[in-house]
Amino acid sequence: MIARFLPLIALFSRAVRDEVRGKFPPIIRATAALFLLLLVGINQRSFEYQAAAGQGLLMMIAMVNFFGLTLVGLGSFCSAITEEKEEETLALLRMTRLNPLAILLGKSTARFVGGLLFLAVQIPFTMLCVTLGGAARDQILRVYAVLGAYLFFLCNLGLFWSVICRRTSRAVSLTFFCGILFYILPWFLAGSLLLGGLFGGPSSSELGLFERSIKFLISSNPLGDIASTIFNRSGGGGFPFATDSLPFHLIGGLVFFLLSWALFDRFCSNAGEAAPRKRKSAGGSANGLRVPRPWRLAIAWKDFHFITGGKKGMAIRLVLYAIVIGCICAWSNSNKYGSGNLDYGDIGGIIRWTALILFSAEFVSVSARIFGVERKRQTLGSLYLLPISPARIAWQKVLGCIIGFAPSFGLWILGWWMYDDWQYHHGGYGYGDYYRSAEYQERVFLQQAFTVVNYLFLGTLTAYLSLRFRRAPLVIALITLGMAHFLSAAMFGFGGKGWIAFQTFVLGLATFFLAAFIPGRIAQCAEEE
Amino acid sequence: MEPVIDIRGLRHAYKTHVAVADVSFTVNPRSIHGFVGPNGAGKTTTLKVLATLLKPQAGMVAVFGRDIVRDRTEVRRKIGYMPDHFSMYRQMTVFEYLDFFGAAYGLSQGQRDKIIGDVLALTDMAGRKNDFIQGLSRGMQQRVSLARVLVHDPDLLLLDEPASGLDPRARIELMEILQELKRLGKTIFISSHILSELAELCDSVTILDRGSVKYTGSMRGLISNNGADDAYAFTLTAEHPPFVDALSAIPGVKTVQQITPGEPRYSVAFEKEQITPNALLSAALSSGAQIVSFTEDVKHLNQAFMDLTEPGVRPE
Repeated sequence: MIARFLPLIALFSRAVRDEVRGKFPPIIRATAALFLLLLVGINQRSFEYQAAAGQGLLMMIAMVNFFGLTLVGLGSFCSAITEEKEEETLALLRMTRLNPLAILLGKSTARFVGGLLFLAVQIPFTMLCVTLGGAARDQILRVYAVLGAYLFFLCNLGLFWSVICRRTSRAVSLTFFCGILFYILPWFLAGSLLLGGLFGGPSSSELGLFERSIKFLISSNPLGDIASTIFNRSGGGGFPFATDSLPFHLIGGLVFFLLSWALFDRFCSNAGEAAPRKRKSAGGSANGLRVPRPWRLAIAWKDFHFITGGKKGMAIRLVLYAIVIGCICAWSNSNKYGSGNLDYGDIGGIIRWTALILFSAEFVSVSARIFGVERKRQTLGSLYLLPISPARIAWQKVLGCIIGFAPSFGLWILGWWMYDDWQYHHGGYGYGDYYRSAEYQERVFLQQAFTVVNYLFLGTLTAYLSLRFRRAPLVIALITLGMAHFLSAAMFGFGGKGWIAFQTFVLGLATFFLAAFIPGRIAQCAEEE
Repeated sequence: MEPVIDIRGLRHAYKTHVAVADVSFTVNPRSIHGFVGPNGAGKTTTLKVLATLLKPQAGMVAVFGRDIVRDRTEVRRKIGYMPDHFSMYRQMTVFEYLDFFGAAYGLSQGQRDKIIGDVLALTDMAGRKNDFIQGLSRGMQQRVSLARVLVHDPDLLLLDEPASGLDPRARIELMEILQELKRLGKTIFISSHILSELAELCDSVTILDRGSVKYTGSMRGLISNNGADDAYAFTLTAEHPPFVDALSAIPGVKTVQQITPGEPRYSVAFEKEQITPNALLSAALSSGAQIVSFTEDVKHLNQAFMDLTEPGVRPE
């Protein structure tokens, strides 16, 4: 009987050994511990006079854990099966006595248990919040229950994409995309697309299936659930199963695990599991070329055509984006909770926000790939050997990618202009005057500078990290930026114009230094190839 | 004649691990120079230094008389480096790939069209120029990689294990291409584990073991059984003492040795300025010996390699 489980135990112990030997797990744990310590230090003074200091600390700890788990989850769970595919060892595993269920359990359980232990060891420490006041024991346990359920869901969602995809990077991207779909998109739809009535009067029975789904997803958001648990004792029910997020994440995790199991044979068969998809011959134009001849700035040409898709890719994206915006406009126009017929200011608003999301998605994807693809294919060495400096290589690559952003960025500018123009000329209730005021112009300028610097920092950090780490540079960059803002808010609070200006300056400086390090890092990667 | 490659006292270490220590050798122009050594000997590190990917931590490295650190950009225009792994943009077609590198080296469209046509013809890939690289076999990808190295018409080719993983036909064809490149005036510095092919291909060789040079010089000098002297081997039908006496008595003959005790095989070392192989053969026949074979006595490169390098894995 025991012999039947020996291969599974061997796989489990190998996963645990890899986890112990890995460089990242202890660094992440140490970083999280230091971060928590820092939060306690920052809030030490407020503990003396606040009546419910424990409440704030518990929320901070929960936030750190949430982002930490997201980081670990995306980096670790999504590689459970893809790492075997990339190393071409999955076929060897399948030749042993391990069946698909054993492989899935063996590869994912150790990672999940590692995450669970990470949470469990904190609980005694977090009980400090009870002493500080404002938090009860059952609240703390419920927060950890919500985080544990979220971890279970993330583990199985990552495992699912790891089974489906050939490469870890693709699995991470798709898991991240699902995260946006489950946790961010519902808020966007509810908040920005005239669905504000969701949280108003209508009862659930009056809502359509779509609206109910959005409402359910919003109520299943772990961060919302944690906030409700900490700040509103009566909301969310008793410990621990009366909240929406727990069943959603536990059942969702189970569903994704079963899907992984069901699809394992289909996507992890021995034949050609890691073989590249082959395209034999280039079709198209008479001279057999798919793309125009290289420009004088050849590297910019390469990245424009082979990272952002070139003119053809731009045209396809523009059409797709127009269709998406058209659908949202049509849907918003017919929405019974909306304001009726959309004017061109409303359309401008929809274009602005939709294009911003699309641009952001393009931007972060390209940032992760601009050097990541070169590093994965080990082609940085051949670029580095060209008789141009690494700084010029980096500059040409950035230029090629910037051109590719034209559709989404153009739409964003168009939407911005339409919305502002409408407000300027037709804004009622004194909005027109306000939009013309110097105060508004100054605020807009600061906000725009802050937004641009945030994008630049995120892009530069992602590009730099892609030269350092092979896995999940985008996720690490997003978490870093999120943590930086969170820490800044915890230290200084949300301020007015001065705070935004200071943040803009600090991020701008950090972007400048990061960008200055990139050429050196290119040289180092080329040497290591 | 100024050497194409001149390395003196090269040293490079990765943290505490010394990859190459005090390496010195030269490579003559328009020659094929083999670079041989066991795994971990420091071959790739030396090649990366020559390719300007790594800076030497000590010593002097010059390519075409130019210091590789001070004149890095100039050196890069004159060299073509092919690493030991495939580093290609596989979503491009063969033509797009070569066209991109041509443009990146600053060639005009007319220059690129001509040189790409030439290198595709040389590597026999002209018929596949519109194929995607990812659909090509390993041997063909190796040819494309070589074509990429040639696209800016470098004078020195640095090839790291170009034949690894290729089937026998592809290897032979690759060696033919390298011979043709030598005839076109290129200098080729090639690292390889396939010793038999290097013996036929190379004019000179450097053997590296555990980070230091064990031999550098002509291929003939390496495989000669008796250092600088010429040597010929006789195989007789049976042992024949007058044979040894007759050959030993010839002026210019230095030694007559039985190769294996009990077997009628002899190695005769002589000074080629004083005596010819013909005279040796005549003297042997005059002694009444029944000769089965008479061949130049050279070591196989494998044997020379085994003699010069140490067994086992290099310790850290």
